[in-house]
Amino acid sequence: MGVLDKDGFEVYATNPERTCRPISVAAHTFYEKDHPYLLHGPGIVLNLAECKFQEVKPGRTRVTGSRLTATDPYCIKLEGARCVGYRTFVIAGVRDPIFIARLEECEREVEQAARAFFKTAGSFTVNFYNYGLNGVMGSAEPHYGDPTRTPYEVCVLFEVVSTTSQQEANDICGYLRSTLLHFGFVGRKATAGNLAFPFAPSDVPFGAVYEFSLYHLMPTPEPTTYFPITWQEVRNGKAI
Amino acid sequence: MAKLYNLAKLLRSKNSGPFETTLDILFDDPAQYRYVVDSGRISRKIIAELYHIPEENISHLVFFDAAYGIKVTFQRSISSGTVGDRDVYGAQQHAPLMELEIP
Repeated sequence: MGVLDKDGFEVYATNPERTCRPISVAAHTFYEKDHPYLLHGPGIVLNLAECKFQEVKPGRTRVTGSRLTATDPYCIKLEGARCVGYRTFVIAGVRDPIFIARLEECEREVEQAARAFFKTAGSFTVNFYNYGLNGVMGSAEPHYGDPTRTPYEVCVLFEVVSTTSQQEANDICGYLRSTLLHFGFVGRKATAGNLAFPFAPSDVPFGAVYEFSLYHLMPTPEPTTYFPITWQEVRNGKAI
Repeated sequence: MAKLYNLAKLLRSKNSGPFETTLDILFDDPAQYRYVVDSGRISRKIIAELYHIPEENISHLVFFDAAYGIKVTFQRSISSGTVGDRDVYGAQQHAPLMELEIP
């Protein structure tokens, strides 16, 4: 619950088992913002540099000192996305330690084989996400390559994004899946298949793929210039 | 020597818009906050090393004393949801920071 007064506001939880402490309120000012005390909005900057967060009684926090400044010109944010292609993906488990040790080199070779086989196809992207190695952090994973942290199993998620069609993504992903499944890597002992699929069918056509293409501040003469409001009064089914 | 997650009350990552990741480190004990700030371990150089990014990709590194909080914001290498992105909300990018040693 928030209570506003002329010098600030107070926040408290209505659930007696919850509390609202200065860190809770401070954490909220940080949340999903690029800066901790300069918060931008349409036509304004909220400046919290001189804010005070005080617990005025247990579980009740008072905030004073926020300043609101108008920006000139008044800007609104534009966001947009565009379609970049069509995705098909596969989820598979890997448990064979010899294959895990060679997994990434096998993935590179399988992608090369697919590119040679589909050389007349439209452009496409292939990505492998190896959960257990560096699935979440990618190249920033600090433990990547650490021989003391070799995983005993890995979840491999791979995707094909075709700029041409869903069918082409399906075809290329099917080729990748069957090639990786039976890939004859150096030192292989298990010749019946390299992948454990949790689902049948294994390939998931996932539809159109989008990416952000527009993210701009646009000056506007008046806040409502691009958001016109028209009123129509209707009485007894008739416009007046 | 303590790891940062032992000292912080709250340590997290998230998107701040589709093109940035932001890291929040918040404390409920002013002394712990001051200890971490004074250690000098939260710097552009160390964040750049931890996240394998050039220092110029870090747009903000701010110590906000009034809230006992530190915020670091850097450019994503791949924008949120774009093909190849591994974390659409950026919510699991805090782990390297958790393990940062504070002398």
